[in-house]
Amino acid sequence: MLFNSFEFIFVFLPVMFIGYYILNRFNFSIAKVWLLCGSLFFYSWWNPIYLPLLLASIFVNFFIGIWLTKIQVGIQKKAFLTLGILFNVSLLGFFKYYDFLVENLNYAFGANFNVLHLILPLAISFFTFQQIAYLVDSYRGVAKERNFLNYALFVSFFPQLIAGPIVHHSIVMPQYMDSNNRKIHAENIAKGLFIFSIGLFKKVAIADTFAIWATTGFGSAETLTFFDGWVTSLSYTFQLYFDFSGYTDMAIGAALLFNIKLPTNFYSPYKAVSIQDFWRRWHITLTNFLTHYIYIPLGGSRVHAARIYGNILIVFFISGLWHGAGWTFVVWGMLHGIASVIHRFWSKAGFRLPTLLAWFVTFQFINATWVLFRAPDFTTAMQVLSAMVGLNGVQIPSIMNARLGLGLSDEWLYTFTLMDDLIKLGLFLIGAFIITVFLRNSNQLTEKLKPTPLHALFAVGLFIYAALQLQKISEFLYFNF
Amino acid sequence: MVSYKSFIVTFLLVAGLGLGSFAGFNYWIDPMWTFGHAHEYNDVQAEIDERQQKVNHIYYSDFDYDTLLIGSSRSTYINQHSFTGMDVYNFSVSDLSFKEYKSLIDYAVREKGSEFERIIIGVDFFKSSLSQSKEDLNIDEYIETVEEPFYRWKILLSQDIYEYAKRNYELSKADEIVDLRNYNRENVALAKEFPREVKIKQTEAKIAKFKRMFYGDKYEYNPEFKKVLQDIEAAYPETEILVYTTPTYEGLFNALVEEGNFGDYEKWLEDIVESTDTVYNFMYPNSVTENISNYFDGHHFYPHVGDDIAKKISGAGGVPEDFGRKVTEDNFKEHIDWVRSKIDLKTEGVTQ
Repeated sequence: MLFNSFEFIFVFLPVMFIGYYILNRFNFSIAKVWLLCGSLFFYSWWNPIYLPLLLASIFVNFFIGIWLTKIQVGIQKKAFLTLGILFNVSLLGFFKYYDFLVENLNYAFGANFNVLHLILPLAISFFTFQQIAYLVDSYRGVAKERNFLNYALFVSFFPQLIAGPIVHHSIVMPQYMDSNNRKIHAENIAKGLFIFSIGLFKKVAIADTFAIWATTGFGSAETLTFFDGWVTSLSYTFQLYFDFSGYTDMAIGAALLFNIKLPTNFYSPYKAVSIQDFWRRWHITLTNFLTHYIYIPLGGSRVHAARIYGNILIVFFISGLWHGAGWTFVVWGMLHGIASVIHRFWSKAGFRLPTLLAWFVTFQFINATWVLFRAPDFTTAMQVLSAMVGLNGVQIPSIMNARLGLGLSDEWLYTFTLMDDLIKLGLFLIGAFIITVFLRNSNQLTEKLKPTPLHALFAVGLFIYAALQLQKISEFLYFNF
Repeated sequence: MVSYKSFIVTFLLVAGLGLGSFAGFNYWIDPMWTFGHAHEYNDVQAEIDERQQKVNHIYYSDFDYDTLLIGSSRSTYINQHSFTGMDVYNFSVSDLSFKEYKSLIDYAVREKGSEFERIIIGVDFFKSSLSQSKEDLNIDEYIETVEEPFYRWKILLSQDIYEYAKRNYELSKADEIVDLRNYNRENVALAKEFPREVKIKQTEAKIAKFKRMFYGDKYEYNPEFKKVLQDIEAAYPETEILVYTTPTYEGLFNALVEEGNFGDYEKWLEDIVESTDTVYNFMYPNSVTENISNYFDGHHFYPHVGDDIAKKISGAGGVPEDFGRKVTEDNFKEHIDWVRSKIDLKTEGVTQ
């Protein structure tokens, strides 16, 4: 079930909300059972076939976690932790990377191993990472959860299950246990409705519009010229941000309705003035996971410089692979790793760019590398990037020439066909740029929310507009044939 | 004094009223045919996607008819109430490929709960070509859509639907047919009337298009057509299958002959007769097809022609004598010779 669906917004969420607070009047545990069952139903809506996988993963990790807290002997403890991590990594590896690995082996060695065409279980990348963190902290003695219901809820709570944020047990577990959360808190509900509405609008009204243009551009990459190339890459850059951060806003909003505060996952990433700054603002919970459970165990910043740079590259290699089983993702991750290494070297050497220039360089790098992230293969990525640097010709849409009165001769002009409405496109790009670079983000707006009628009308305006876009009906084109 | 409680109340109240107004209006006009109520402000309905609209209509109505009519856009102009002695539902939709016939019939039979007494199939010559029947099509996606949970309710909350509803409301209020096809709430299609010179222009353009895109070398008969009809016969042995050919304007028929496709036309008719024993042929020069005012583009006839087709198939009177011939295996050769003679006569008439 998607957050931006009628089923979720108008049926599932209200039913869960009402049921939760009614049951809470009688018993806190029963109310949590209601939440857990609802979450499992939510997970099964799309494809129930992988529900047993999620349940198995929860059971195995919970019991390994308990053993890890009980066992005192170091070597046994380490063996159990290794077993637990291997279990999770194998699960993820099999479903997400098996086909990728086999295709590469077949290509490299001319072998003919069968590709299984496995359907990736929903949310496996998220619940696997969450549980690895839990096992490591159980090993360290930080996590000591003995209540299965709380644990199962920590993994499967529907607002964060499908696309994060990747929650840390130390953040949410106490909230599941806090009986104060049984009551309705008007502030949480108001803030939940507010940020949910912003998220829904970001996803439905902004991201889905950019998605059409990005898809058209990447779908005709071989024909793109300079202007088209930039429109394509920027459309995807904004699509990705408004899509992912919108989804996270909806997750945060939905969780707040149940008095659960999920961590911030996006904090104006396109305002970043360095690559390091970007990763402090983009998918923050993933960055935290990679930092605490990979970078620091590898030695973090306490080792000598060469190893630090190596560790950074390892972390970004894993980050790239986590985002998708394909070489374009790996190269995207490695480019970010290399950029981070250069930035660290640059900073340590005492160099510093003017803020505006630093922002410009960072944004250009992010925009260019998203092309690799989006492109289905390197050929397409190179076609888009080539267009952006003018290798496929630098021409201006004739309509722009006419409207702006540029007075360019025909040799500089071409007919823009990538989208129907150049004006709308321009307004969207400028609007998205202003929102992402100059305005406060949804977390800041929610944090400082004043419950005035004006704010309520702003939120409900976004909500109504977005809700009316959920069902798209298109005409049958060949109607008189 | 502001509070979070008043924020919530404001939000829910405005959301409820705002969305409720849209949903209420969309329900009242019902542009996707999921409810069925009729009144003077929704009695002109735009054709949005007939497959979905008619699938919805069938799904959400007491679908109890003894006869099913299927065909492409031409057959949509036949008034299902013009048949006598049969209770017909017109399930014709735009651009219907013969590959879709079976899935339309299967769905209708499933919703009816039993076989029909008869199924009437409107066939178009140009749709029997390979180029027009490459893909294996069916209406599964439309059925999946209508079967989605909450479908009829969730589409009420749609701005797209609202735009259609608004238009339907305006057309109904003005009682105007402004499109090539508008429906009333009785599943009857009506067409906009054009001045004669526009009809002539549109017909000339259509003939030129058919010569360019569908006739001559572009046409290659798809033998699968016969198998599809035989499969329908075999799947519904208790049902009488009646096939009729859609009457195109004489000029368009002449273009077919001029481009050398008369042999394909003959083969096409022969395959229908061999599959279903009988075909009602309307596609040849006759007093209806030679009158350009019966068509808005030479290819799509007006509903009054559809009425004549319905009467002819029903065996009712009041139809021009030369319009429509019942062709069986017994008189097939004779019929083809007669059609050929009409063409020869015309040609002679031209050369004289």
